[in-house]
Amino acid sequence: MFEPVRDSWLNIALIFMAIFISILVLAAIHSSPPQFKRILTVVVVFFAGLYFPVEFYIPRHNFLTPFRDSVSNLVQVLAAFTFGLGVVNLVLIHGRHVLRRTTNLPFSLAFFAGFLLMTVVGFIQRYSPQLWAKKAGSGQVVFWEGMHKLLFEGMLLPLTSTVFSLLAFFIVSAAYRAFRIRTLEAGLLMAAAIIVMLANVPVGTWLTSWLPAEGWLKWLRLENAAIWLTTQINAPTQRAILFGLWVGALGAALRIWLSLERTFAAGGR
Amino acid sequence: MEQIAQWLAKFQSIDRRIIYLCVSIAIALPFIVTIRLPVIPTLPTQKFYEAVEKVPKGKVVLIAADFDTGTEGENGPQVQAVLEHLMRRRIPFVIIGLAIQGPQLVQNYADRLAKKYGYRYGQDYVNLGYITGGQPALERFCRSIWQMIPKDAKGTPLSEIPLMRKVRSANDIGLVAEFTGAGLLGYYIQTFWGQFKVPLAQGCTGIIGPEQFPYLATGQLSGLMVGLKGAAEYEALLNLRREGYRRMMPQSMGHITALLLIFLGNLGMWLTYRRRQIRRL
Amino acid sequence: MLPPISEESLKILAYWIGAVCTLGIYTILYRENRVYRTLEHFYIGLALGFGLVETVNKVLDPQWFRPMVTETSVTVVSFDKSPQLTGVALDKILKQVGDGAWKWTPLETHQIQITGIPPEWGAPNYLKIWLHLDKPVFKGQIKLTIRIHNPDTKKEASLSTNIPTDFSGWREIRLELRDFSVQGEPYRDFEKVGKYRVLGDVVAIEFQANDSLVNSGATVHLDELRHCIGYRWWWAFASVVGLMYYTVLSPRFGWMSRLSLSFLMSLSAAGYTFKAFAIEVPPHIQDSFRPIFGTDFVTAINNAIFVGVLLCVMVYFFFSVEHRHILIRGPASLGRWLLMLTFGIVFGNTVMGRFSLFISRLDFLLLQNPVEADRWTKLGMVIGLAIVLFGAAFLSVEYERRRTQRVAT
Repeated sequence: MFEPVRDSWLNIALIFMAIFISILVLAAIHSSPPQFKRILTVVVVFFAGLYFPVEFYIPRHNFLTPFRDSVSNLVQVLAAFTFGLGVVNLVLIHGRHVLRRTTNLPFSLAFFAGFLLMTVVGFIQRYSPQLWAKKAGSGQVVFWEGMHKLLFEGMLLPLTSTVFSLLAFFIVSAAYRAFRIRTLEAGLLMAAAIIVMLANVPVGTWLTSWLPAEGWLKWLRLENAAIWLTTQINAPTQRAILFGLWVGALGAALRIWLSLERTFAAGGR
Repeated sequence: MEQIAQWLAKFQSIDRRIIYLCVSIAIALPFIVTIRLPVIPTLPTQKFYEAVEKVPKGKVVLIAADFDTGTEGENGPQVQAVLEHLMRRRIPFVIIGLAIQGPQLVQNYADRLAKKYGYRYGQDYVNLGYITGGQPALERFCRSIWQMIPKDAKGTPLSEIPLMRKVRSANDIGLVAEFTGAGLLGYYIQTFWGQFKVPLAQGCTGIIGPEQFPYLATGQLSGLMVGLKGAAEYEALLNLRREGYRRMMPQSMGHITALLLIFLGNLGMWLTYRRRQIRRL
Repeated sequence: MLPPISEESLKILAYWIGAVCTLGIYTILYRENRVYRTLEHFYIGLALGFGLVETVNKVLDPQWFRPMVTETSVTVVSFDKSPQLTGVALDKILKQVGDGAWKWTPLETHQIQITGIPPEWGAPNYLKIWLHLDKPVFKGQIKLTIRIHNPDTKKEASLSTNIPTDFSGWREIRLELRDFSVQGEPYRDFEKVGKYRVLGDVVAIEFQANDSLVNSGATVHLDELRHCIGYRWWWAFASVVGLMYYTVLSPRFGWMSRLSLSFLMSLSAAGYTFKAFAIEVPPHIQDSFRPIFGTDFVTAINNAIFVGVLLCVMVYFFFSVEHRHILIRGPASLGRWLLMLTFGIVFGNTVMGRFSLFISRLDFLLLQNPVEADRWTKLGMVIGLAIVLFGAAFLSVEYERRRTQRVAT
């Protein structure tokens, strides 16, 4: 049944047929009682979750192996469709501001300007870079490529970096206001933080550079103390957290697989 | 003494904008006044360096640019140091990325460095662009690069790129060097390391750095470069003085300012507490 | 017509726009203001647009739309370049696709071999080639052979078929790979299951004319040899499942979005977790058993500390038993302190990371200015721009304040 067809017209007919059948099936399910929808979701989710583990745990070259790439593609395609949800959501929110001329109007217009500029220039640059544009000579770039570069390197890049870099100020401000040594735990946290913060910069390592580089005293040099703390205290602690995380991940996976996760699965609202 | 205590107590409720200004000036100062101090490479960075040194002849290095401009300040200097090392050793490399902007950023660095070392796009390095789909996509990439990505980032078919003729699957890759600010290491461990036994080395941001150390202990990571400091250490190993090294003094000033502020905050708290106790007595 | 842009001016423009964006965002450090909010919204728009273009370009177009509406073909030989073979010439007039076609006279050379073609074909179903004959040769045949080197068996193999020459003019010939006769083992081991077959490395393509075609004196034109998978109409189902997400906006049809989302989550997140666990975690368990005896003293101490820390923190996280007994309470308290030490390390690294990002912005502003001027002039330019932007931010805050006052009164 799922053999690629050779004829383009037959393909188009089959595409329409597939969509039509899907709509019929969805309509039939829609008119069925909620209990049926729930059972259907549980069954679909259960079998979908079986694919990767069964394919992996049965030794290689099993009957599921040939579909590996198609399933991987399917996951990517379905995940890509979710991106549109974000687009629709933001466009609806800002569209409302524009239509109702709220106080957010200039900012919503700025949003649409950025969105439309990047989308239009991005698509033209990818699919038709020569559209209405003169050819570029040496030391020049075609208009659309130049525009894309300007939007990407001139705007998107600095804006993203700067937004993230704001955290430098907030973390210092927060540390100054909230980092108070009132308990033993806070003291330990502070001690480790001071060692690591100093060891991470040349000024810090310079402070203890007078200590010998070999022998027992070398462990008092800040860079050595920090690396010891990181590999001997931090690493096993992180591993313990990792074990906990994996147990949690397996639990969450089981909950999704068995449709016990009610937030979005069967029965969820 | 009492006046200092009063001032410190008041200092606790200082306007946050003054703190911001202090931090800005402290960090900006070394950009204007040049101060230099040596950087001492640590073991995890040395291991990264050795992992690059151990890449067998005839194999390529996969640069996984899993970062975007948000963490470029840390990952950027790391990648540039590794690219410089690869170019010095004449090791070809292939760029991919699980983050949208990463591959383009790394290609910009590679293009800049290529002029210095005579590297040519297509012959010595290739950018395959952004990959979506997480582990399943990487697994497919390991089995067949050509099937997973038939064209490079510019849309040139792989058959027209000379380097890609000898790079077909994970077996042709001698090392995966991943640069990230997110927890994507698992994807590479589950595919390249776990299923195809390709060594991994990672350059990560300071924030996720501590989480990666258990992987260094198991050998799942052959080397680790943490934050800007890691980049500066790698540059020291290469006898280079580039972004990583250049930015270490502003970094030092930033840390000292932060520590000073934390110290003053605590001193103020302690003095206020003592004054209260004395008053009670 | 839109003019090209010079690289130099692009560099300068990108820097100054970048500087405005950088300093404009930093105005938030003064106070929430209109300059920041405008740039913030513009940034969200840009990022969304960029994400949309990349999602379409990297996923939806190549992995969903093209497989659904095209044959997913790859050109093996375009026949657009000069052949460097006797009896074969490049014809730039009589052609079907691209810049030219190969004019082959079998009388001069009855066999041509083409090498240097894409080695990896994946799992195609059929080949397509444009053939032109100046006259029909009814008993004539062209034998097409695909020479393969199988990396698994390390042996040569081949696939061949005969193309009849009973026509004249251009004709696109479709050659089903399943109809090819097989010599040796042309398929790779790792995917050889059922119909789905991945070919080994293709090293050459050969065209061989039979005696009738040779003796007829006919000339053959070859153009655009492609391997194809075929139209995969069933991807239409994926679009239905993908569009089902959007019913989340309607309470009546919302169940569809839950069904499709659960399906995706189960297939990807849940399904892959079990596999990921099996690959990623065992080495950590293995590495947690460290020798104390039979190693040097320092390693033994370090190993003991490592295992001790791991156990204490694990005990701290073990909430199934109440932390009352001294054997539980002691290690659990120690575990909490060790966690604090670790969080201190994480904090130290986080501060480093955050500062690095700010430093990179300063590096951009102060050291990457492409304008040819001395460093003090450049510094002055940046400070000037900062004054303008922070001034604008101040004025916008004042404007907001007065407006709020007006509304209140």
